[in-house]
Amino acid sequence: MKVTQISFVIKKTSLVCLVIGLFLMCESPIFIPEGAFQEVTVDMSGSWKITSAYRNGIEISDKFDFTGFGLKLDFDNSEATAYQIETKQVPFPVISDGNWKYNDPVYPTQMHLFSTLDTAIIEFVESPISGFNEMRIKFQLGCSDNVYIYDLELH
Amino acid sequence: MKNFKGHRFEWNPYRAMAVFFVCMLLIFSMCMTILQIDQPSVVSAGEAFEITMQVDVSKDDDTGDPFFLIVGFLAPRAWNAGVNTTVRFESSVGNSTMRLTTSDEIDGNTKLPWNSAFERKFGIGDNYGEVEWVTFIADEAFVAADGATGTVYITTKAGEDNMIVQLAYGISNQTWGFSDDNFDLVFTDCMQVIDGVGYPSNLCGPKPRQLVEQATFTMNDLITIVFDAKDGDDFMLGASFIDLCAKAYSGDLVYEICDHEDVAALNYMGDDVWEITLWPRSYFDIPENQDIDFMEVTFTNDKGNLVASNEDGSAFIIAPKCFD
Repeated sequence: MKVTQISFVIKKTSLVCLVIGLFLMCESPIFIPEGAFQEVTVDMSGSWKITSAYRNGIEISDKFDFTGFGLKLDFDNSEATAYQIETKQVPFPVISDGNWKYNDPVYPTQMHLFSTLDTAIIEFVESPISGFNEMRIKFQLGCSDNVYIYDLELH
Repeated sequence: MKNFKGHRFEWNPYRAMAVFFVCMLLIFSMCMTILQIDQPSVVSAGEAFEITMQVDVSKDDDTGDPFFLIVGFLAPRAWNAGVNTTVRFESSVGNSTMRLTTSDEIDGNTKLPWNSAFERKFGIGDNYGEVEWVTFIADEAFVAADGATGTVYITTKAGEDNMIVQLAYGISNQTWGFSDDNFDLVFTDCMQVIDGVGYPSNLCGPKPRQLVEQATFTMNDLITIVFDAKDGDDFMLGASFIDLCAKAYSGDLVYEICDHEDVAALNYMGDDVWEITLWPRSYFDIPENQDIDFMEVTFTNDKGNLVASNEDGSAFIIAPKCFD
């Protein structure tokens, strides 16, 4: 083996080593937090109060006493859980306590409420997100022509 | 060439075509007549019933072209007649079922969809509102070069609410629409729906005073009762306060809140207009398993002895009005 051939082999080997080395240098472990791909349901538990009310797009907060109203929601990640209405003096689609759940636990657009007397669907005007303490809900009470919106705040 | 006003007369092919078309309309049109209508004068709420209509088509039409019969039926909105009505006809030139007209099928005369065309052309009779024209078109065309007679059978279903209403029936055809004699119309005597729900609303009578702000509502809605002291008797004008005296009827039970100033005071809105917004269920403290059928209301002023109610002394009725 000639000297030129030896140097060629050394050069080639070192080049390959360099490339491998570069690859190894670049590779850093990707950190994926535990549960990052797990779909989480928004926790809405707590007691909600009305801050403003609208009927057919017109604010009616001053026309009726909405202050006594409270909607208390229990929450479990997957199961339907209990709700309670604090005063039954304020219009609400259900008139007795019962259970509730999301229509879709991951991307909820509606709450479904069930009691022994009646059932109701309440729509979220905007889908709830984690950590929120306000929500805007939309529903009907009697005639479908009349649409009610409540702004609720977590207390 | 000049016309009598001295303007130059120019040959306009479009105008000539229009004149020609009008002439054709006059020559080739039909004369459609409703000879007789058999309709019950009283029906029970929720009852299905049949109306028959004798129709004559004269032999003015000598084109021999096929025509699609159009039938219009004026019925209370609460009956949802578009869903609950079937129409067919039997005639000397053939039989056919009929279906609802679509919004694409228009009367060539008014350029409106048939149901709107009927309302525009004929109105709603003695009814003060809350009725609608529902229109049907034959599935099969008919040819009546020598004229024809036939019977239209309309089967419909009364709604659940007690009421008095004037129904009406009209005929036309898709080809000529409401031109010349290509249509006929009959408003029948006001009929009654009995044995149903609630206080009967008389659509044939004068339009009742509007007491509830919402055009449609049920007793589960949050309703705003409006009292305009300028309507009717003027003795409530300038009152310093006005209270509501109200009764809610739930089956055989009656709930009453009267002389209860804390909850029953109306709010002054200005210009002698007063209002109160209430949720009937909570206002009358109705048990959870009961519903309110209708309400009776009167208004008292600061002297307590003045009551505004209907002219005959009876209380105003607030009954649900919803067309769901």
